[in-house]
Order: sequence, then structure tokens, then C-alpha cells
Amino acid sequence: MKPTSNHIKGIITRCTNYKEADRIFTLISDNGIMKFIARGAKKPSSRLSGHIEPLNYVTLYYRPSKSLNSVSQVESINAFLEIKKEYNLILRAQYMMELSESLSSENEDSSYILSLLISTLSNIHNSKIPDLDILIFEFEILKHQGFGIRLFDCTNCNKELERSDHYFSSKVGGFYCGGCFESKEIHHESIKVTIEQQLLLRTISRKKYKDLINLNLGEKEINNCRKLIQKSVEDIIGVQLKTVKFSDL
Amino acid sequence: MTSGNNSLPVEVQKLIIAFSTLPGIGPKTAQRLSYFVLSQNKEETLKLSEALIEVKENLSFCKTCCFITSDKNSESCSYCYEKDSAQICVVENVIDAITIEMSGIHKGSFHVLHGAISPINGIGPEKLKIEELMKRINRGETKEIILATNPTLEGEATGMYLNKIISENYNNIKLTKLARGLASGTDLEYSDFNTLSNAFQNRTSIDETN
Repeated sequence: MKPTSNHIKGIITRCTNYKEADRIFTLISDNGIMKFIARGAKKPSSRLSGHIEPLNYVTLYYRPSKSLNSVSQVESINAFLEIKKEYNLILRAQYMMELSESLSSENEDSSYILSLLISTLSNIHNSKIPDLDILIFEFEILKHQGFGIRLFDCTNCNKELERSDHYFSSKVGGFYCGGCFESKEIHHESIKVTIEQQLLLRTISRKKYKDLINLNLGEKEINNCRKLIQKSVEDIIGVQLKTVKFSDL
Repeated sequence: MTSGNNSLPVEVQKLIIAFSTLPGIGPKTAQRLSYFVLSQNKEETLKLSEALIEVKENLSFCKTCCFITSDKNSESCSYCYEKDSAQICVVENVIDAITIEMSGIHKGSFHVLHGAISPINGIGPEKLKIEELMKRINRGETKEIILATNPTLEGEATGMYLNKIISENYNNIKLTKLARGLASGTDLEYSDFNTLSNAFQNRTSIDETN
């Protein structure tokens, strides 16, 4: 029986050239990560060529297959052209795509991750502090996947954290209060987090994004918080993301 | 490699593994190629193996332009001496340089980067032949750099990076890139946003084209 044609929306995260003129690519969609083959996509006359590019939000029409789904038609929804004009934004967008990929799986609902990725990519070029948008993205994606950071109480004794600097451990996904930090041998695996940085994370966790303007945020605070989250990601997935070293942290 | 391959002679297994390392060749294709080599007569197989050995023994990449050269020990290849070094066309791969050369459009020299910046694949600027390009520019003969990287996300990122470091360090060098837009023989209705945007931005007056 002739296979039916399906369609799906998603963002192309990576492409590889295959054989003479084919391209194999990965898409992050509502149904998780999916792999496709676009036959003849490298040819200049191909109707698929320009659409099959990383960082393109597309609608794909494909024939399902046991191995790689074969693409028959593509329509671009958003090519994020403003991001593609700036080198630093391209690096950041690639980081977000790799992070989304690493926290998604095949045949698993990823609609929240996709919508979060689309909204961040749509706003990042207008942002005064792009790294703050990425921090919010990182925080939200971890929280949604069940790896949210405990910000308000000690991960060891469960007591509410006092208003002072505390130590964060990515292994436990939260902070230690002063007493627990002193009593445990965890100094080597902990990162000192200032009150300002904790406040920034708490504001993000409460989704009070408008209040972030009043925090008088410096690049240092944001980058330190991002390092903290990236350490958590590294512990969750077991490896460092390839794109991390290319971000200006 | 599948467990079924363990029953094959070691020589065939080695050949399958060797073919699998080639780009675009999966385990199944590697098996097919290996069985084809087995069925070929000895002379033809020896021709292939000799060609492979000759390529590796006689050829390398030029230390200046990073194009293929048979002058293994010299700093610059014959191609570097023949071509006008005032105009350097920067390409991602050797095959891109050959394609442009065959067209006869570009009379200057080439510089092959051997890849493009792709953070998601772990490829940063340090893995490309950018240092070699900077050394060439430092000689002071260069007047124009033509960035002929592919119009892909990786190619564009590489172009932007080169533009940044060259324009920051050298004021007197003209930096250009190949025009982006609609390709001959394509339908407008199937064009993507990026191509259309480039085509509109780089549109030319009709008088110029006539």
C-alpha cells in the first residue's frame, strides 16, 4: 500500500550532507526530535534547498518510513533572518537548539520546548541583554523537564534559605544553607552564588519578568547564573554541550 | 557493525570498516562496496589501491593557500606563484575552489579554510585554516578578500567571523562576499525567505544588467 503523506511543524536544528545531493537533518517538533532525508536538496534547482537550513521554522510534508522520513515539500514559517545577520546571535541560537535537542527525545511530547524555543528566538534580536533571554530559556526548559532548581530552601535540611550568599550544587540541583555547607564535604563541587544572583533566579522562577528591569542587572550576574545552569545541564545529560564553549561566558 | 560480520574473514571485516569511515557511506553500503571489490579482478583493485596510496604519498595541502599541492616541502605551491595574490577568494573546501576555477571567473588566488564554523558540531574558528589566511594578509600583498563561503548558516557565520577579524585588524583591505539571491532556473514561488530577502536586498538596476 502506498504510504500516506504526513506534515509536521518544527525548527531544523542541524543538517548533514549525504551522498551526491541529499541532506539529512534533525527537526525539533511537537512530537520530539525527528530525522528526515531531503533528496536532491543540495541542487540549486531543488525546491527544498533554501528551506532545509538550521534555524528555520518550517512545515514539512513527508512520507513516513521505518528508517528516515523522506521530505516531499517544505514551507518556511520563520527563517529568523535577524538572528542570521549577527555572528553572536547565531552562536547563541545554536546553543539553544542544542540544549533543546539534548533535553528532548524521539516520539515524546516536546510542544512546550518548541514553543519556548520559538518565542525566545523571535525576541532575542530585539533584546537589550540577549543573555538574559537565554537564562530565562535555560531556567524554564530545565524546570519543565523536571530538573528545576530549588531556590528557596536548603536541599539538605529543607530549611528556608536566609538572605545571604549561598553555595549551589548542580549534583543536588539546589542550594545548601550555611550550616549544611560547613558540615558537608561538598566544597569542591559547589559554586558560590551571591544574593543578587539568587534574587535574579527567584524573579525568573516567579515569572515576574517585568521586575527584572528593576534589579539593575550586570552581565556578571547573568553570566554567573548561566554558568550555574550550564553546570546543571552538564550533570543531567552527562556531557558538556558542544556549543557552550563558543558562547561568550 | 552488525554481529553477523564476525563470521566474515578478517580481511573483509577490515575493508568494511575502512569503507565505513568515508563520508556518506553507511555499514550496508560499505558491505556492498567490499563485496564488489572482492568480485573485481586483481588489476582493477590494484589500480584503486595504487591511486589511494599515490594521493596520500604525493599530495598534501599547501602551507600558504591550503589547496592541494604536490610540492610537499615548499612553503608555497605552484598555484600560489601563478595566481595574483592581491585578490584572495576564501572558500570552505577544495571542491569549491575547483568549481570556481573551472568557471574561469576568478583570476586571483584562493584560500581553502577546510570547513566552516559550526558550534553545534564542535567546529570553532581554531579548527579552520584562518591563521594561515592571516599570515598571508600580513605579507602586505592583499588588496581584496572575496568571501565565497556557502550560503548556509555555517558558511554565513564563517563569513561574519572573518569579516569581523579582518576589518578590525586591516583597514586597507577591501572585503567582499558573493552575491546572495535567486539562482538561475528556480521558481520564485518555491523560494525560501532568506533567499528572497537577499534577492531583494541585492537587487540591481536593470540598466546595470544590460
